[in-house]
Amino acid sequence: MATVEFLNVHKSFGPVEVLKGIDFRVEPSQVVCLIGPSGSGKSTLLRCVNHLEVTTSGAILVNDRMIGYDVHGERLVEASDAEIDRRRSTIGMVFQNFNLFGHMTALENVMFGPTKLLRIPKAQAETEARELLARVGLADRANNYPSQLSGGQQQRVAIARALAMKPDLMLFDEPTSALDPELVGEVLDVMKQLAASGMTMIVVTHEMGFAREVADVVVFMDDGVIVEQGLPDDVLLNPQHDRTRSFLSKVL
Amino acid sequence: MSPTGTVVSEHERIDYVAMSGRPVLKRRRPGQIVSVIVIAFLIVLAAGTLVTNPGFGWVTVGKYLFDTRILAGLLLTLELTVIAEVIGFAVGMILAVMRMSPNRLIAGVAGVYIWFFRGTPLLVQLLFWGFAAALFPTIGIGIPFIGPNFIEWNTNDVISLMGAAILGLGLNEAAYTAEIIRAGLLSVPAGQSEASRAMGFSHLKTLWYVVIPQSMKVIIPPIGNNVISMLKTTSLVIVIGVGDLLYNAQQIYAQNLKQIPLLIVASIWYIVLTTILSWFQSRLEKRYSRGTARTVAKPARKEAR
Ligand SMILES: Nc1ncnc2c1ncn2[C@@H]1O[C@H](COP(=O)(O)OP(=O)(O)O)[C@@H](O)[C@H]1O
Ligand SMILES: [Mg+2]
Repeated sequence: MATVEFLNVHKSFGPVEVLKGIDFRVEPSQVVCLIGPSGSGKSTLLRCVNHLEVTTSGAILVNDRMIGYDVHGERLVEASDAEIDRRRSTIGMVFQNFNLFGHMTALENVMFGPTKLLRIPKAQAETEARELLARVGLADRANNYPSQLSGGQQQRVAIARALAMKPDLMLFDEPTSALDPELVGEVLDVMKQLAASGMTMIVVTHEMGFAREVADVVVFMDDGVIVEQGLPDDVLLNPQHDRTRSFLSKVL
Repeated sequence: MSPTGTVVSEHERIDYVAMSGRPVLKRRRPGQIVSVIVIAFLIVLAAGTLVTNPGFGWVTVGKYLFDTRILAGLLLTLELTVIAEVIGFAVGMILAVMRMSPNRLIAGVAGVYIWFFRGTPLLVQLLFWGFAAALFPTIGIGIPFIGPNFIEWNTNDVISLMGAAILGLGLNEAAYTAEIIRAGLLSVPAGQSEASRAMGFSHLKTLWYVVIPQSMKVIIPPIGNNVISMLKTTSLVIVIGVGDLLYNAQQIYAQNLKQIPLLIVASIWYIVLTTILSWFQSRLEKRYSRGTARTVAKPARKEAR
């Protein structure tokens, strides 16, 4: 299972600095919940981990190696596209809007990575994909297209799709924010089960109940900096900073 | 409330629920009746001219409709359309992908191609290809500018008139097709490529497996439109003397001077082919709308017919 290390990470979009020196560490099998107001840079930070965004300075180490760069003597060299793609394939990502491939059935979505990228034989990939769909409670929905599934079902397929690549780290960007309230639970249940299985997870979420129950560490971000981090009960029930208190009073 | 805004008392209350169960009566539309009469009159007039005016020469039309020269021309027109459109689609796809490349040089090359081929008349381009031999008498493979060519061909042998027609039509079509395809690629939500890139698929694999298939339902209708247009645009190749449908019709009326009947013969075949292509187009659209289950709701209210 993976480690992730953020070392003085800065990120600017043009003149606007949205990450202003982020430092923290994720241990193997830990679940870290990232919370914070909209626009505080949570998504950007997550997207920097798999190099969908390129950091301006600082480093993010996944399993002790930077993604996107090789080390040559005293300097960083841009890694090849193929190398970046290979590293990305070991990190699962789940999006707020699911982003299931619209022209593929649930089963095809889950089989897509293993067959087309990992070149696993089709029959074996299908067996594994069906097992994953069963694991997220959607064995009977294998042949449905995303447009025929509810939001909660789509998100569970998206999690199965990410797991099919056998990642050792999972990134979740507000996985339940686009869901109707009654569908949030089914997705959180799958995530809890995943956490219990020992997966390393970084989860951007507004679900404070989930954070308290599942997270090992809660990190509160505001305006591009980490204001506070610690055990869920410490940060969520006994915050030390006014900004944390004022944020929590709005979401709880 | 009644339509005039006064309150309706209890005893004159209308039973809307019971009425809504019965068929709705259609309103008379006097304008419609007048327009039917006018159009019927015009049709009779037109049909009368078509039948009585000997200039149309329907007997001649019938005689030449299945003439072997006409059918040979028809086959060539069909060949030109298919080959030019296939080249147009293939080159257009490459251009569209190039234009969306993160590499500025590659995107720029595609941009210049499109600018050039859309900026000059197709007729001129066809003439250029037709006269290419005058510009480059030989084509060879060798070291540019200095070296002797290892292999050398006579341009007229390599680019036949048919080849010139295909190149002219296909490369011009590619410029327009590229823009259609680019619009289609842009219509696929960014989250789709993002999800694919995050899984570790490369830019090109993402285009191939994720973006292009989903752009097809946007691309197919205007491409179908282009094919139908291409079918008739091929008639421009008569300027370089390629024996297509129109060219052969011209050859025949140059001898027997029955211009109108032979132009009608050509037109009939163009219309027949267009109709067939339109049918194919609607089939293709159904095929590529996979994954977008759109069920049309049945009309709720019965109507008196
Ligand atoms: N591609 C981009 N270009 C410019 N600004 C961006 C881009 N992506 C995000 N931002 C800006 O960065 C800031 C942080 O955004 P984000 O990471 O999405 O915050 P959060 O996920 O915490 O709501 C916001 O002010 C947002 O407008
Ligand atoms: Mg966000």
